[in-house]
This record gives sequence, C-alpha cells and structure tokens, in this order.
Amino acid sequence: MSSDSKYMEFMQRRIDGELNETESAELDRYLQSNPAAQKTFKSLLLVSDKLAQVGQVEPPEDIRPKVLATIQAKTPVHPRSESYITALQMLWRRGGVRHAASFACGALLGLILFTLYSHDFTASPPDKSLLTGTILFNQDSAEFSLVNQAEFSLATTEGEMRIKRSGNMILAEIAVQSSHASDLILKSDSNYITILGLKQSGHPATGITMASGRIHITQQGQSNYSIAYREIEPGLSKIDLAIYVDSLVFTKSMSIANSGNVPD
Amino acid sequence: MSDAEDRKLIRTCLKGDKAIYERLIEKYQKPLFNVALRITGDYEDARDITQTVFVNAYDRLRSYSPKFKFFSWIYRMAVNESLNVVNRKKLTVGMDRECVSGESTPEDDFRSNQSRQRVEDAVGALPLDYRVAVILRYWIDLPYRDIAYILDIQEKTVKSRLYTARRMLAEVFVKQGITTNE
Repeated sequence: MSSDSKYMEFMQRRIDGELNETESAELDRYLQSNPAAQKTFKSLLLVSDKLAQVGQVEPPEDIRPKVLATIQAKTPVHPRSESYITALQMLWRRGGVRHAASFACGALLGLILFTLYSHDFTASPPDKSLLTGTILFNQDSAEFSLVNQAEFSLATTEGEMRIKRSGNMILAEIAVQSSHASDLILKSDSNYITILGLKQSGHPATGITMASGRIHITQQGQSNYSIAYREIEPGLSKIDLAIYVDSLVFTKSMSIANSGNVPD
Repeated sequence: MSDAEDRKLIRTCLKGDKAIYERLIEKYQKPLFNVALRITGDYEDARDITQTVFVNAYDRLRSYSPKFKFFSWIYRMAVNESLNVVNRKKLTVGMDRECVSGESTPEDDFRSNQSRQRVEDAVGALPLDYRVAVILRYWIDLPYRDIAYILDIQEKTVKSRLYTARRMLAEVFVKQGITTNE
C-alpha cells in the first residue's frame, strides 16, 4: 500500500471513528506536513457532515392501515393454541389413542395415494401438486442439477419447470400452457430471489409485471420463459419454485446438498 | 424496542395475533420508506415498496430466522425490492429521478430544503451500489456488519464502496460549491 493510499484509508477510518490512538497521531503528523492531504480530509469531513444532516422523510400515513387491512384479510400466519397442543400431547400419551391415530393416518395416506395415482390430477380445482426434489451441487463445476423435474398436467393447465445455476445466477426455465393468469415465483430460504431478467418465447404473454421473485402473467396459450435470478444467499440451501395458476399451485421445493455428484 | 422485543412480537404474531404486527410496522415504516425513497427517488414507488415489503414479511414470518436481526431481514427485502423497481425502470423507460406525485405535504417538505436537495441529488447520481451503501450508512444509520448482511457482500466491500462514494461526493461538492456554511 502506498503512503498516499494508506493515509487516505486512515482518513476514512477516522471519519468512521475506527482509528486507534497510534494511527490517529500518525495521521495528524501526516496532515500537518501535507496541505493537499489536509484539504482532501476536510472535503471528506464535509461530505460526511452534509450526509449526516439529511434527515428522514415522514412516510405516507396510509401505509400502516393498508398493510393491516391486507394482512387482516389473510389467514393467520401460524394459528396455534398452546393449550390445544398440550391437550393433544396428553391424549397422545394414552396407548389406545396412539394406535387408533396410527391406523387412521395409514388409512388416510392410502386414500391420498389412491386418489393421486388413480385420477392423475384430474380432480376439480383447487388441486395441489407438491413435488419434492433435491438439487445436488457439484463444487467442481458449480452447477445445480435436479434429480426430479417438476411437471404438471391438468385439464386446463400443463407445464414443466427446470432450474439450474450458472455462475452467480440461477436460471429457471418454465413452460406453461394455460388460459389462466399465472404467477411464477422463486424463493430461497429466507427471501425472494432478485429477478435479473425475463425472456419469453412462444405465444405472446400479456400484462407481465415483475416484483421480487414474482412474475405475474396474464396469458392465453403456451409460452416458455427463461428467468435469470441473482443468487443472494451464499449459504443458499433451499429453493422453492412455484407456479400459481388461477387457484392452483404447483410447487417444487429443492434442497441443495453441499456436495455430491450430478446424476447422469 | 430492542431486537429481543422484535423477536417476542414475532412469536406472538406467529401464534395468530395479527394486531401485534402493527407495532413492527410502526417501528420500521419510516426507515423502510426512506430506504425505498432514497434508492428509487420516487415517492409513489417508495410507498408501494414499503407496503409490499411489510405484507411479504408477514407472509414469510415463519421462515424468519431469529439468528438474524429482524430489521436486517426486513431491510434486505426493502433493498431488493427497491433495486428491482430501479432495474425494471431502467429496462423500460429509464430511471426518472424526478418525483411526480399528487401528494403535497410530505413530499413538499422533502423537496423544500435546497441545500439538502443538492446533497440528495449528488447521492442520487452515484452508481447504484455506492448509493445504497451511503443510504444505509448515513440515512438509516446502520453499522457495516448489518449493511454487509443486507447487501450480501463482505464488510470490507461495504467500506470500500463507502470510501469511494465519499471521494466521489467530495469532488461533486467542490464542483457545486457546497460548503460548510450552507
């Protein structure tokens, strides 16, 4: 580090209150013997002072009531009654109840599986397709690959989703055929992932709007979308890719293994 | 209200008490709105972003990890949402830093101080990465560590961006004759 850049850093750190006594004394000696550096330091101090003088703007008064009205209309985030859970726990400790519940769960699971495989997603809406897959991350090639691709098919809607990683970007490829409005949503563990760009081919879509991780499309017919997302989580371990079509939701949750081989 | 209090409010909210969320809105709406306003330079966009972030945060409260500060978590959403809006505008009609709003009182207040306005404009002209670092450091008063988390960059990168921003602003101030007397 040259002398100039060293003292420039000292100046910046003094503004931030990060210089120790020794460094501070050294900077003072340097400034006393260097008028040009003194001038630079004064200009940096001025910037810092002026920035600190700019206050905050009062937000519009309608933000709070609008947000509250929106969330009041939603179902609770996690409705739960502690006493209710406690009562269930006490019931569970009784052997007969446990056996009966196990039998009921098995029967319910069997019914669900029978329904899924015998009707092939042709049930009346709202229907829900939840596919769980694993993205294996090969650290050498820095690429994601899906073990299972998400495909869905209904009387009025069908499509498929793929996701892969390219450098610092996550690329989602979505093909959907539907006469309904769609929302394409990609989320990571704790946040939506920033959309970098959208390429659309096939039938022209209408009314495309984009927000964080969400692309809303009013479209007729079939379209293919390539969406580039910025990877914002260094420790990203889970991605949810979802397509909301009318009242239906097709979701693919993908956990990321830290190492492993990409399957053939 | 401390971060521990935030976590307590969130726990209550997760048990189904939606009304308690109002206290978090009350606490954070001003800084969130200011983050959005300074990044986008548009009053209406900032209003929409603030509302969207609060609603999205409510929807995702279950995924909130208490190992992070709540305000860092929610600021991160606000910054990302604001950057999305800015990038989208660049893609369509270009960034319009003039506020066009039917609102009068708050925005007029915002625009009334000429000296402050010149500083604001100088910051607004900075490249986006530097602008955001300045906003979070000076106007939201966040420490480097929190800024690094919000922007998902290393702390030394935050410092580097801020150092560069201050030098760029110093040159602009000299050119525009902005002095301590203003």
